[in-house]
Amino acid sequence: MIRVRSLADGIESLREWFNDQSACARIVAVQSPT
Amino acid sequence: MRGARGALEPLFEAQAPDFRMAWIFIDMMPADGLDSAATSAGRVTDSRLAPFHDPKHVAGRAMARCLGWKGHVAWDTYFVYRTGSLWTGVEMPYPDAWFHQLKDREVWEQTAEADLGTAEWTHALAEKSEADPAHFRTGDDLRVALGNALKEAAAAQPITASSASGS
Repeated sequence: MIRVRSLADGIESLREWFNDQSACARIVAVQSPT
Repeated sequence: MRGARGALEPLFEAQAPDFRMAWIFIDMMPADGLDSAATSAGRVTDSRLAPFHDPKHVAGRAMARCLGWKGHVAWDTYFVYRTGSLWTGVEMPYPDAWFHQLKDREVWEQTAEADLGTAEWTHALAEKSEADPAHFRTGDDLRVALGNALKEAAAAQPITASSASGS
């Protein structure tokens, strides 16, 4: 089961992901799930 | 919203350059929540994908602020960053390319009554995006635009620590 990280407590986990993946081009997409 | 997802899923199947994607599922509609986010995220099994759930709009507001939108929430919005770009400040870095699927106000005014089910729709204008129509893409146009932007971002000169600091 894929792990969905919650941003309920803030945006820090997204920032960590962004910087951890800096060796690649990245897309940050925001959508409603339905 | 299947059409919106349809622009992203092919990126994992195409011969795209090495990339990573943060797919943020934001609660905007009544049925949105962690369960629907997990279901949507489960459609793509790919190590390049990192799904997030944004129940309080923190990412949606951060992306809106990044684009200079005041008091709005970004959704159906896509940022593309080149290799090496870092998030060092408080706010998200400005993307190398970005697209959205938000209707501009003029278009929305034409369908607002049908969208809201009432003729009293002007109160909702403030909730609508001020997204630049020049960045509006949908359907195949969005899929192609994202694919091309990704190729350009991967081929671009990587940002180094010195260039990122402006020295």
